[in-house]
Amino acid sequence: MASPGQSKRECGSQAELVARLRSGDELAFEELVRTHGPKVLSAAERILSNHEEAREVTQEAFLAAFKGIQSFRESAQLSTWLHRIVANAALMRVRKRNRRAEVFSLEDSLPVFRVYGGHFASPAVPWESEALQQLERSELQAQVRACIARLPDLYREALLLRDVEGYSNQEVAAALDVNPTTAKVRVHRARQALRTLLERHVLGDKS
Amino acid sequence: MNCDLFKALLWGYSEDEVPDSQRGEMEQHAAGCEACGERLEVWSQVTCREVVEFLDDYVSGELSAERLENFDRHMALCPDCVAYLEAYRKTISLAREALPQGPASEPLPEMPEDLIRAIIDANRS
Repeated sequence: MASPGQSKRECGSQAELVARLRSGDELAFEELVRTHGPKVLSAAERILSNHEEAREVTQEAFLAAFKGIQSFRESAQLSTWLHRIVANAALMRVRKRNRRAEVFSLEDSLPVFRVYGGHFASPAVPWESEALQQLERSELQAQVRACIARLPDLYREALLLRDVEGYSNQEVAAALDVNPTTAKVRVHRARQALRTLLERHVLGDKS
Repeated sequence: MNCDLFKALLWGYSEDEVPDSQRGEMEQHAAGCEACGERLEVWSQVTCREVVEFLDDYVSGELSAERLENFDRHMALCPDCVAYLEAYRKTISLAREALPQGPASEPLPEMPEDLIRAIIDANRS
């Protein structure tokens, strides 16, 4: 999917890079990592909000990309293709994270007071409403990511392509190598499933 | 039969899941009640199930003019479908917000050299 402003030269250099990657050229791989690394790392950091994990996922994504380069379609853009790979890898990490039991020490969460005078060891800071709104927003986004991570692979892929990457149904079909009707149904089912998963969070006990 | 019961059974009526005896009662009610008469007519064109199945086309503006009119009439009378549609739209925007690609103008993080080396080395091994 070439962007409207994309020059022929860029298309040419992408085709050349892909051809070199396909032939197993290690220098081409380095070029891919250097060119697209910042965008891939940034996407991983946005999804995971954890620098170490984002680095690991970035590595996983590039290795998967190199391994899967044969399945890359020339009509697509390397950057969007890589974004899908990293988003998928990061969501798998989110899924794993949610499965792990959350270890939480109650004792560590209690306020600490000074021995003499009984004052707070560190001052209690007022919670500004803006900060709370930000927390709510980031918590909601984390919930949404956790729900997307729970979708079956076929449906998650379709949703990522259509709703996150902004592909058309035709482009989703081409990327997934299915007919447009199947692609459309998968996107729709994925949205319906995600809607149901989110509803449990939105309505809580009322659902 | 009153309007509430009629509305509750309407879904089953349009899906042929209401027994014949009750279908008769519903038709009788619809004949005497303008609002429910309209509901019956609208539901016979488009059921809730069809609205949900074709929601993507509805949202993307891909329905034919005639079908769109039937959908709009159904929506005007069906709070359930409106609620479903709103949540469906919200789901799409929440997914987009949760996994943003980031605006092109956003400064990208530096790709640390040690990470580049680690990736290249891992690919070699």
